[in-house]
Amino acid sequence: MLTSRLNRRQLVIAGGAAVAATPLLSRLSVSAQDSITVTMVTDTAGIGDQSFNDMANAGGLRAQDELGITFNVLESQTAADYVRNLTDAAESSDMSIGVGFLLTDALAEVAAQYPDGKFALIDSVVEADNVVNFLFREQEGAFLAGAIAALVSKTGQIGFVGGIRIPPVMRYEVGYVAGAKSVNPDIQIAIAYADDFENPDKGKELTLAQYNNGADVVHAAAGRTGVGAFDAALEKGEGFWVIAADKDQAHLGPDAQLAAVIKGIDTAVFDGIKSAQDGTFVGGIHNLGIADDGMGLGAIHASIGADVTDVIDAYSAAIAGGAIVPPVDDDTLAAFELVSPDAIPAVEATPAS
Amino acid sequence: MTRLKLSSSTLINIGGSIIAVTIALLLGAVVMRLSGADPWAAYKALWNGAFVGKRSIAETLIYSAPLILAGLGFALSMRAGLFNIGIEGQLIVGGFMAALVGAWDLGLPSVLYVPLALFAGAVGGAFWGFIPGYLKAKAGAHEVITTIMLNYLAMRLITYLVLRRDDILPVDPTFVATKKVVPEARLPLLMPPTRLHLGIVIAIAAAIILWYILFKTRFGFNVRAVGLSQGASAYGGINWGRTVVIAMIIAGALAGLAGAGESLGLHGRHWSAAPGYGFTAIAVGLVGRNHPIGVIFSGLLFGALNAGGPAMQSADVSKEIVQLIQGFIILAIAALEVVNRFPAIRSRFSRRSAASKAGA
Repeated sequence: MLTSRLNRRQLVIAGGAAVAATPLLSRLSVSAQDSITVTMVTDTAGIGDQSFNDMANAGGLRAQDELGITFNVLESQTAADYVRNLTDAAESSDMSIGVGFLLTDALAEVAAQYPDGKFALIDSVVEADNVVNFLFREQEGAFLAGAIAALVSKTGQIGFVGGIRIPPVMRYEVGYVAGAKSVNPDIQIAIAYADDFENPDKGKELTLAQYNNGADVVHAAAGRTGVGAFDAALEKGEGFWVIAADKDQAHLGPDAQLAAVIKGIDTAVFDGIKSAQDGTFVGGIHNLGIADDGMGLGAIHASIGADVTDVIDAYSAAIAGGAIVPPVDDDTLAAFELVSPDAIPAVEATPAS
Repeated sequence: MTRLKLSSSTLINIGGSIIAVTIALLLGAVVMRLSGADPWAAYKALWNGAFVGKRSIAETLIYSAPLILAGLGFALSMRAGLFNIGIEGQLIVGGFMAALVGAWDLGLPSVLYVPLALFAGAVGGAFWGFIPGYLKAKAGAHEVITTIMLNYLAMRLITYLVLRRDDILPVDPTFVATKKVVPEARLPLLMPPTRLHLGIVIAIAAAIILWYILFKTRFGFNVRAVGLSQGASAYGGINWGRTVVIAMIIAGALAGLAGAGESLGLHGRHWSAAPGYGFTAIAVGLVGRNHPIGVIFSGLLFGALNAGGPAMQSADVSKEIVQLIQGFIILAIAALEVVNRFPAIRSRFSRRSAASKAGA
């Protein structure tokens, strides 16, 4: 179901390009001929974070295989490396990709210095003609995570462990709360932040504390810190679940992962590269959600029956169709009207498939 | 006779540092060879990334500036006999304070605003250096313990302030950083379009001033005497406690300036994620033999390694290899130090010099 919507989004991107790319055609047609070089710059967490840097890398490698482009990665050791690496990338390649919110300042600076270069930015926005930005509606996937947590929980208590409350993580949190309360308005939700994306020990400690207070499902949206949530679940044993964020992390504990919120960073990177390769690149903002194949709930544990997954599918369809709009911050969460599983509005099947 | 002895020991120090760096580069090459990479290509990329072209040289100087300043802070405390692991904490407190002042938008012209923000950074670092110095002087609290604790305290405190106190401070929780420093408080650029800023000039000036203080003033003499022997210096009438506290204040101020240069010059805000320069500064001080002029050169060396490191990735060598080489340098320095310290080992390594000494 997730992949079936891919075509629609490509149409959207191509449609936008047809309108806006006309004045650029002379330059773009040159670069469209041969295979291009793309350099991706990671944040300090780097490749191996089991999270969004790895996903972005997967998208680039896929582009290398399928489009025949040359794909390089520059990892950053400190924040001082961001501008340095992006400048190296802009000098040596046709397209430079910044992965993560933390590269916003640096990418704005470098994109302004290289007006003829093409840039892509994940999880943040730099408004410039030569930058294509990919944002995600994390709250949509997190809503489904909250719903499945509430459906599966036997204790009526669930938890959320966040990295740092930057906007994407906040969207995870409020979406999760809205989903869980929709299923069970009386559910108790513990929320904790590690204030750190690179500290699995702290992630484990916070998750254990929530389990020990009665929660049996914890959603961890914390980058590498979230790896610790799996340690906690494995230590507690059967009946304690983790819902992963960004990426399927079942390899960390196949029987501890209830589900994973999948964020289509790999697809975004691939599409960005493809647009630069075939000459349809155009700056702007793409805000990707369930309807665009940018978000979804996947890797649901095999022991979960159809009674649960049917509800999740119904919520998913309602969000994709716009009948449910999950909250994005504390204010919209307070104003959000809960949608119980019996009252999910039916949405016409999307013609895209 | 003393003059001759001094210069020969200086030569030994310089030679030792060069040997240590050479050993480290060779060991790095062995590791790269074992992991299937081409060390020659990697070192060529490192060299090009650090020294070839205007931008590369600018980057080397950019990365060197905080390392020189923080290395000077470490060297000064070492001269006073204190192993100051707290450079990291002093650096980030300084960077944070400077960025706060710079982001507050006081409406001052550059001529006033830049010195004020730099001063705030120095004061922040000095305060964070004063605490362990005072505890050492008054209570005998070991500086290694107190400075490590203060490092954690600084990191956690700044993270808290940045994430939760945007009601009273110019901070931006969504970036986990302070707000942007206003243009009037940014350090001037020296070589546009590169991002080389005034920081390197401040660093070299600070090194020369520190050299003068250490070797040409009474206070500097006191610092060195205290560092060599607390008992003997007290017997000679030097106030140990006062000297230690002042040395730690100046060391903290230097580290604070390093942080201020980063937030006012390079980033335009203070990120709560610490770069770890305070720890590299320990190595910079050691390789520079805790001599201000030596620290300039070792700071440039580590700056070049950091600046050229990312370029090695284009030769299919991981960025971690640069840290590995830095680690090897420290190990080699420590090994040479052991050989230097223990006469029994030294005599085994150089029988001839031992024999000539015995003859004299």
